[in-house]
Amino acid sequence: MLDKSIITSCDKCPKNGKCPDCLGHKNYVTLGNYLIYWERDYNEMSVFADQSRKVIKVIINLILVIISVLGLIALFYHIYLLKTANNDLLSIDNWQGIYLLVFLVSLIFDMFLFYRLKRNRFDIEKVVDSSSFDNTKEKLTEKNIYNVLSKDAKKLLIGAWFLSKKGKSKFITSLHLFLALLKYESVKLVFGRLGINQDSFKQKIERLIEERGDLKEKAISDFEMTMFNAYLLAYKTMSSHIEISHILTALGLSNEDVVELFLDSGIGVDQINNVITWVKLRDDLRNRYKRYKARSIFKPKGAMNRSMTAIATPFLDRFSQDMTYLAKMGYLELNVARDNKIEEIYRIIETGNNGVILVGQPGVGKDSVIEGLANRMAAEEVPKHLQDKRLISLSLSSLVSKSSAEGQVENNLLKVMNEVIRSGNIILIIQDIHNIVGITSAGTENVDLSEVLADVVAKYDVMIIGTTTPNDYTKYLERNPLSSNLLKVDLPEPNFNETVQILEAKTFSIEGKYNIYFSYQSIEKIVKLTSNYIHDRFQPSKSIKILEEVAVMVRKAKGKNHLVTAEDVSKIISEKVNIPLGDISASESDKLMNLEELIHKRVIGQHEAVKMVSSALRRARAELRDESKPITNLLFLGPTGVGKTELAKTVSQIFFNSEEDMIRLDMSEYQEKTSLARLIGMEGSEDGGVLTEAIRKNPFSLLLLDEIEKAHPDILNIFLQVMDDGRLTDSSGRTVDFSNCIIIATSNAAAFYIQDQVALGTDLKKIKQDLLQNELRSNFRPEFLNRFNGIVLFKPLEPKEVEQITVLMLRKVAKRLDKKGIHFLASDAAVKELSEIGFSKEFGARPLARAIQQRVDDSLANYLLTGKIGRRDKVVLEKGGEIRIEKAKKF
Amino acid sequence: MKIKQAALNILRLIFVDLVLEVIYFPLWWYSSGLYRTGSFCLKQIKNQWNNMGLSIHFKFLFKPMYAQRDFAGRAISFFARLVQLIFKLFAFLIFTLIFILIFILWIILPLFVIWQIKLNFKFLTDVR
Repeated sequence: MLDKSIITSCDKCPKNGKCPDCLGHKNYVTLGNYLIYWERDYNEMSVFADQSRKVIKVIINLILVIISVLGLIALFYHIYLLKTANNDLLSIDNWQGIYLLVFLVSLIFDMFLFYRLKRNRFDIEKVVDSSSFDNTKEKLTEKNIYNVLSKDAKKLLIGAWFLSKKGKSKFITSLHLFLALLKYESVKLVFGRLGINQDSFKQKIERLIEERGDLKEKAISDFEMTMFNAYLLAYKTMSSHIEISHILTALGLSNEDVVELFLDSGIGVDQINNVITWVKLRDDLRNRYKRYKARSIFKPKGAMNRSMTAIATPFLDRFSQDMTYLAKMGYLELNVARDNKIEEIYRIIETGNNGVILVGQPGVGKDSVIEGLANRMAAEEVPKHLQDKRLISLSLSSLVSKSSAEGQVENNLLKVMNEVIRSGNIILIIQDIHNIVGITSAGTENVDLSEVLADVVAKYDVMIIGTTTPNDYTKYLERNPLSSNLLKVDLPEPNFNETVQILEAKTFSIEGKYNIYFSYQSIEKIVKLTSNYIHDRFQPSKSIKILEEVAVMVRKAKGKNHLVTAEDVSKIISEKVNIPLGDISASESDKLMNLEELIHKRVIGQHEAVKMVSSALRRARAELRDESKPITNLLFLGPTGVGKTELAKTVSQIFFNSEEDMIRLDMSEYQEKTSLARLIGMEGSEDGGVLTEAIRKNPFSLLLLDEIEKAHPDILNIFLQVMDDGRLTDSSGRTVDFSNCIIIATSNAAAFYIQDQVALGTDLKKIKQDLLQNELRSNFRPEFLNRFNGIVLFKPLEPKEVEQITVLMLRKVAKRLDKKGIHFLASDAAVKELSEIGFSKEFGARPLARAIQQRVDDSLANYLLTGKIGRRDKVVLEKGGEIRIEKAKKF
Repeated sequence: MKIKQAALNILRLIFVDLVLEVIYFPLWWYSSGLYRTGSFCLKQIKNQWNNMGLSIHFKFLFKPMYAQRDFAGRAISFFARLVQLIFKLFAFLIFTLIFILIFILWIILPLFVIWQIKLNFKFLTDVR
């Protein structure tokens, strides 16, 4: 934002006389026709002068106060004397004498005291503002930065000087200034919000000061730079004085050491700035609340306006709520970051429109805009058209529910509107105004309620503010006569910074309620994570919900007066969306680094595939992936029964902690073009499709597309978009987010080719190349294959691998028997035999399950049913499918 | 010795400041001070005008109250509003006078005090 280049260091100064360029100040900044410079020496003398000036000032003021009190005493004594002597108090002749003289003289001192106090407040120098620039003047006006330092800032500089003296420095450096800052409450608050440990931070600065020593004399010292930057900051924020906060920000901007110190704690300049704004926000809100409260005293409470032209509205009152009254009583929250929308409403109303429809998703703050408007109306801080008016929220549901007879709804609405028209001081709020479309009472010849309303609005000067959602607007209101009278105002989701501000405003009440404190990082994390991971709701409401929830959680877990950290936020959102989000713990890091081994406990062989999947998962967890695309898209190629589906299941188990979070679509069911409707929903239906609904309900899951080559090519086309943009729009217009999915497609295409080539001993790389260039062409289009992050070849299993699989499967049998208290073992020969029977080149390891079922499970079942095996017995599977039982000793 | 000299210098500077301040005092009273007091009083009077809604009362003098637009309604409204307006204007007048008085007091207070001191002084010396 600011840099050294703005500050001019004069190099044309003549040896004698005043330099015409810098006016003798060497380093300066020009703003308009002002020349800003820093001139202030800090040494024993100047500091002593400062201190003594302060003391003398207090002493003089004290003396003046004493004189004024003495004067008053003299006056009363004079009156007392007159009274006791029974003299006439009203006679001018009696108003003379020594005591009166004392009083009169004291009056002069009183005036002097008043002048001293007031002059300091009024006539003190201020930071220049651009409105006072006078370009006609040729001569520059000199301004010393020191003169616009606030009281605290001056005190801070003296504090910094004492620190530099203590450290035996020749002059104040920025680091001294920084160290002195740490003593201030407001700075402590900022550091607290940033989650900085102040003691260790202080030690770091002290160490740095020692290391740096007295820096070489530069053309412009660090300290001077900081003061210039602080001035420019105050100028930019239109502050009248340089406050401590400006100096803190200036340090964060201009001093490399300070920047490094902050970055070391993971904090950037923007964050410091935002926290300072946050700290100020509290005062802002408090002042605004006070101002509204004071100004709304004159707002009438009831139906009557100040000009008394209104009428009582008893009928309307039955169906409505007076928002301006609620605002006057202080029940409505102050809104933040939505001023521009309120201004837009003003503009529309001032140009003579009958009102607006606020169109926004649920939770983006439509109510908050209306409440903001009510607050301003109660304080009469609105344009003329809205002054001396009431904001009334009409409840459609109570209007409809209280109108049961035929034609009564229309009648009641007309009655309400009649009162509104006659009263002339009412602005009507109709929330969810789309609900009015299509309401008629019993009977067939009735008119739609929305048309009744549109008619009234068009004919009479009635102002209406409606709210609705974008979908409902398109569906019900776009072609409705109402929309021609009411202008549409779009209310988009607030952006990142606005959401942060809204949350900051909310923190004050939540902190008070639960006695905990939010760090700035936690607020940022909430907004970031909710934006990335919660898609079915909108900002800022989804963030506010988390804010409250995390406050309750921290209060319960840690107790009073604790800081909510970003880690707490990650934890709570991670629980909600069921994926790991927080900092990676040591045990998790271990797990991630040894993913291959972990997967190999379930999947035998297929090293290339396992490696590819593992590295994709590691990238995702380290947040290095492109967050607008699915976590990873993989295509598993290979013959049946070699572990493709098993690997997918394992990934789901490891990354999402459950196999159930896997959405499995058998693509052979989607061979017709018409089945697309099943996938993304039927046109015009609200139900949604199999794929879109599943992902919408569970966005963090593994999507397994089995036998993808069997699907119709048009269906494959929709996956092009999913894999590229991570989004898909279903038939009802909802966008479903796929960016937190792992997409795995499996295919048996060219399985025979793979088998043959592997049998021939061709290199795997070559097989893969051939596949992509020739064999797969008939099944997939090149752009489809291109979308995959990895195409993984599963080779046919080797006899040794089949043996390992057999062991794994027998372990499952053993586990089942273990529950019954029976110990199961298999001899090596038995395993070998089983693996030979259960393996075929064509079907991979698939027949193995059948073989185990027939050879092991069936016989075991017979033994169990006949009671030949009991608890604690040992069962051994021998070669030839024979089962040997070692009976346990009886008790 | 050197420090003592410097301290004395500083004290001298402070004293000069004080003298300048005293000299500037009457100047300030009748320039910047006068302007500020004037604008303060004017602001108070303006606020009072707004708070009492007097412009609204003037503007709506002929407009019927409570949306009663028949003749009787209009007639009654007019007189009711007139009475109200008179009362409010009276209250406003008193308020305004108070602030004008404050402004006048600002102007004459120093002169009056000096004049009175002179008189008293003369009286005391005469008595002796």
